[in-house]
Amino acid sequence: MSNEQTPVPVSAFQRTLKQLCIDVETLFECRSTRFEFAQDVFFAVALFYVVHDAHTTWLPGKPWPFWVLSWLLFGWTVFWTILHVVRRFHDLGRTGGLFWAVAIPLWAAGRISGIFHLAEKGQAVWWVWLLLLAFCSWSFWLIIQLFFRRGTDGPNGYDGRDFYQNGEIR
Amino acid sequence: MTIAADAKKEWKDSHKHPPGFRARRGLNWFTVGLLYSMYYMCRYNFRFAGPGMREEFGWDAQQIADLAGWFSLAYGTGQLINGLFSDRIGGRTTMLIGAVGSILVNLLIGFSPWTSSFMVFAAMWMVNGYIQACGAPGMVKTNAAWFNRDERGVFAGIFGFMIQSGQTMISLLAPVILNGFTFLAFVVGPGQWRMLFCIPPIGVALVSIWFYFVSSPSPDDAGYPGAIHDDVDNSAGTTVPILESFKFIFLNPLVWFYAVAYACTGAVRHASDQLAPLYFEDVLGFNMKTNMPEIAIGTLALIPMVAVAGSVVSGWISDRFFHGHRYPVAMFLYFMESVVIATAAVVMAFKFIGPTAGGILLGCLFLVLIAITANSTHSIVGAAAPMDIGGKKMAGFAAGVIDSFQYYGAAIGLFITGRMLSVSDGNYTYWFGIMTCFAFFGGCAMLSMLFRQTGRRTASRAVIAFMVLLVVAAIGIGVPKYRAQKAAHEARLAADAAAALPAEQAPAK
Repeated sequence: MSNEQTPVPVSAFQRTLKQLCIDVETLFECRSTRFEFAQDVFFAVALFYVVHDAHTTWLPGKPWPFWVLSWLLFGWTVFWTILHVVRRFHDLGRTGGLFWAVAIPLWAAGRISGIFHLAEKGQAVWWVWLLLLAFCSWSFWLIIQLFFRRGTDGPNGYDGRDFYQNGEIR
Repeated sequence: MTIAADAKKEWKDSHKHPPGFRARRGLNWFTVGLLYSMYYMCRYNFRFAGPGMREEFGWDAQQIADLAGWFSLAYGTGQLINGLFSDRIGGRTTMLIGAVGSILVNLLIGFSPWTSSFMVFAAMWMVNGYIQACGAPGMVKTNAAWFNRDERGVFAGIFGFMIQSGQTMISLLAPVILNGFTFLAFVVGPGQWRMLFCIPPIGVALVSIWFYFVSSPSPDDAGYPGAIHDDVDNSAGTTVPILESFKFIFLNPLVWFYAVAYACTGAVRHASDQLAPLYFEDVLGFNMKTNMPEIAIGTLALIPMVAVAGSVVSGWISDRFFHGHRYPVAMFLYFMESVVIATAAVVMAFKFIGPTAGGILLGCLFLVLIAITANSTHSIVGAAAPMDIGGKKMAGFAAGVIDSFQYYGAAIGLFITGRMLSVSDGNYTYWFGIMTCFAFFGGCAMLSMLFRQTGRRTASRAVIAFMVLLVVAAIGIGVPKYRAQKAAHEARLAADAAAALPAEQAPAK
């Protein structure tokens, strides 16, 4: 039994896509200090709120290309935040996959709060808020670590670009 | 300074693929998944066009339900045939053919003057059902080539997410179309249901163009030769002659174990999805037509979320702890499902579920729990298992065979449940009871497979014999009981009619 196939020709476009993917993956394969992380997240959050504000005050009634641009900017802030969360986890010597542990509980809690209109009910449903807080506690703990915990000294296994350059892994 | 051994090992484990492979696979998966979710735009549009068609053509609810049933039949059969073809021509080509075909049929329905004829519409909608069945086998076949066995469980979970996102997209777009809108010089008036068959194909066409350029049928075609290892010999390529695929899959007993189990998933999942609004009205006393209560909206919104979560987690567990074997996880889920639904049936029989605060909460909680268990098996049995069995070469037909049984199972389940609800005057304990039987039967199929795969063939055969006995007993005891209950129901109806008659005739006297 063999998994080796007869070599197939790879088109120029597919080769370009491959290079693009290597570049994107390499972007994530490095580290970010506490200060860099706080600075980048601050920038992303500021940009997000500027665009969000423009959506409600300035954009209504404007031509559709402005809307497209605003959504592209939204997309960029999301990508920028993910990138720096992953890099910060790498600095702590942990896998970037923990991003999902930060994002998913917070997203789910937001959805549940929206579906059941919890914000309007306020303190009357305090026990639901308590449950949601418990549900998101690990996410909050990870966020605190991202901002305040010092990164590991020296190479910690997540300095991917060094590995690629030195050929240490493959 | 040296690198900590644990960190280095973890890094190595997560970087078993060549540089850029994971990003390229993510892009491919996103593209394939996006086209698959767009398929739903040209399929679930019918659900929203139904009221407009009824008003314009005077079709009744029975005819609309028949159309949906015939679509399911064509879809299930299409899965079988198109799965076979996808192994021959490749998953990517199959998906493209399906997309183009579905666009054409939808446009034909939207612009055709013969739509008003019920039979012509039914024929066109069945053709759409058949063509739509290119999507799932094509997608499973393509992704089988891109994922190792121990990575496919999580992929299958994301497959569940794609299905939900496709349904969400058409649910958001359809009201916009039906309310009427203006885009540049393009004006659509309110209530133009034909536009539901003309506008979604534009989205499918745009995504198909993106798909044509970006997607790749296998890592080898994208510049990553030999990146994925398979249990099936791929030395002669990843496409196979139709006869070879047919023989390999049809004669593979594992396919049939999964197919039987998946029929049970279909019976539970479709019965739960499609009868939930009736259950809300009849049992919990909700007004689902004009004033849906918050808890009903919340439950219906929560179900897709927990369904996706259940799919991803069960896929991950089968990858991580069972080395890519799906049947142990599936077996646990089926038995768990049967326990949950049986509990619901008992609670229902004791009348704890009803239009009270506690009763409503219990009723909604059970629906959510059923959704978790049913959708978890849906992903790992319907998407991951066919890839494991068929590998890169024959995943298409394996998926086709297994998935088609989901629709046949759904048809049987809905047929039985509908009749039981009818003769019992809406006693939903039967609904839960029938779902319990199917869930338990699915668990037995997986238990038998577990015995077989661990070398205990006699035990496996004993479980199969037990399953046959269950079916014989269900028919032998169930059919006479149904007949008796039907006779009693008809007698009750006749008595009610007789009692109502003098009152109606009274004014005449």
